[in-house]
Amino acid sequence: MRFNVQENSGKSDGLCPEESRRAEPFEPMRTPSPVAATSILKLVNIRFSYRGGDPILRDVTLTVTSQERVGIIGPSGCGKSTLAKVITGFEMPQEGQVLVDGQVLPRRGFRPVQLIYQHPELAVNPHWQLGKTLAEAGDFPQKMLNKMGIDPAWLSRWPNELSGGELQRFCVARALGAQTRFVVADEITTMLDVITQAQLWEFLLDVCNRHNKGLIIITHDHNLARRICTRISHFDDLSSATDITGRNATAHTPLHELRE
Amino acid sequence: MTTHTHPHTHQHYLHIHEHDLASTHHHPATYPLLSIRDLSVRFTQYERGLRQITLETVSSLSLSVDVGEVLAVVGASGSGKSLLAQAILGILPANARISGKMTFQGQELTAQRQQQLRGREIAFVPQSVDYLDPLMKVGRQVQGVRNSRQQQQAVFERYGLAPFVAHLYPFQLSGGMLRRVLIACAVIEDVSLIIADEPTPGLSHAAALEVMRHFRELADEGRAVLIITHDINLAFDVADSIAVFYAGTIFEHAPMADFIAGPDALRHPYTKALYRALPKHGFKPHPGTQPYAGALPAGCLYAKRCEWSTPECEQGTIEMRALRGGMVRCIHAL
Repeated sequence: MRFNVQENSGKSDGLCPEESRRAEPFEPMRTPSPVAATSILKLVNIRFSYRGGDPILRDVTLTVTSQERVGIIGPSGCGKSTLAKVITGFEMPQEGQVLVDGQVLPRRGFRPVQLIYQHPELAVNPHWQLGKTLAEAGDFPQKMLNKMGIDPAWLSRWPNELSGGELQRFCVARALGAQTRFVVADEITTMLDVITQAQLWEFLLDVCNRHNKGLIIITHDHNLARRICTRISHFDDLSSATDITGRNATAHTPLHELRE
Repeated sequence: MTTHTHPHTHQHYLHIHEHDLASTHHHPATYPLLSIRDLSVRFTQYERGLRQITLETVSSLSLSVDVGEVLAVVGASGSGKSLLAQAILGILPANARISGKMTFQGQELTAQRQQQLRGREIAFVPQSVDYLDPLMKVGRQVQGVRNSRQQQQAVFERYGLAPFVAHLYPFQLSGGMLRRVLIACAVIEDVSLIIADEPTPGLSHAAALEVMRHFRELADEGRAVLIITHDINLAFDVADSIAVFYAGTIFEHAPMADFIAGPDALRHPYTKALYRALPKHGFKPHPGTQPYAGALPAGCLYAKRCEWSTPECEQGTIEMRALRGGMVRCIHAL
């Protein structure tokens, strides 16, 4: 399977020439699934401040295509999580726009940019069994759940009975609905052990590669970013004019190589 | 009792470090600072209606920490690492029952003694920022009831918190600042044991490393530090030894040097899998999940996921045994 990348790969900065190669699935798929065309997420001169406060984000600019995995690294308090909320439409910027394929984010209905939080225990309804939480985002075949490391017995459990790592798998699966074009992962594996981390990322990257979804990865883990990102940006402060272009990751390893 | 009025243990620590700073062969003291033998934690829960079930979330766990030692407790998410910390401090939820024996400074750690020592001799750096009072300014919280304003200012400076931060409420702080506030709360008292439950998530690499170095310093000043963490990379730099948790028990207790040396120096297949899953060592996800506390298999808790598994693994109780200068709970480990 090949994606039509010629049109976009030439235009966007920092896109690896290997993009189309990496987008190939690492295991042959039985039934061809519909693959969306490449999308572009643009942040144009974003300015954002919490009510009455100093701007957290000032003139922030970012362009990401759905074939990229952009790492964002910065010290605590520099505005990374605020940026994640603005990109996904949970906070409205005072100035500037967030555009997906030239359209502003819809205020209602399914959001094409999905956010996965750092704290899964705060992101699921505590009064719902987890099967219901998952069903909100559509149907998930058993095979996909196995791949995710979701035990079928967990579907009838309550959130307080599972660990953070177990809950985070539900949150990741839930964010990957068919209409999702971009996923913003805000420190999603910080609280997980390394095996669970590797399992989650393998699944997330696999789905994003196969279904042409872009990824923005907010992390403190340089080793992780070098491993999974196509380009990485470092920040000290997002409250001064910033163009999040970043540099190409050097030690990037295609996912199918990780498997071996 | 502080370490300064405790010359014997302090001397013991100096003794180790004079010989070999990186060594984890602890010369036997008269007693370890904290010793845990056969600890189990059980929870009683209502499953449906009035039907009660008992979950054994920590089982037959043994561990000891010496003065001057930084012990990193790593392992699977949800394996009961936080419960270990809560059991030592005596702050488990009301429906938990513990069995086994814990001693601190040679004396049994009873519920009454835990209450006396908490905050004075044993400090806790919690995992969740929910432990802070949302309605109290953080400066007041760090100062507590026994310390002075000057002490609070000094500890703020030590952890890079600007003076104005003292006048803010927890919700006004970033995740990283909150972490530092939690650490400041714990170390403002001159304690002899620090238990830190995930002290670094949300911190940048540099800030996390700084925090870990602070723990190393605190140990070098004559305390023991038990750090529960997922971040093995950070533990590499500061820990003397590492205890690997899985499904409520310890699979391997190894000198840190073995973890740095790689999978061949390690003992348990799960520890080896952990090593290979690190982003810088292959990022290889080992398939499968940890068994649920309510449905633990007989024999080895890892047998279902293990490449070395044989029928013997699924029978009886697998005991912890000494192997190549460490401890391992596996019948096949060589």
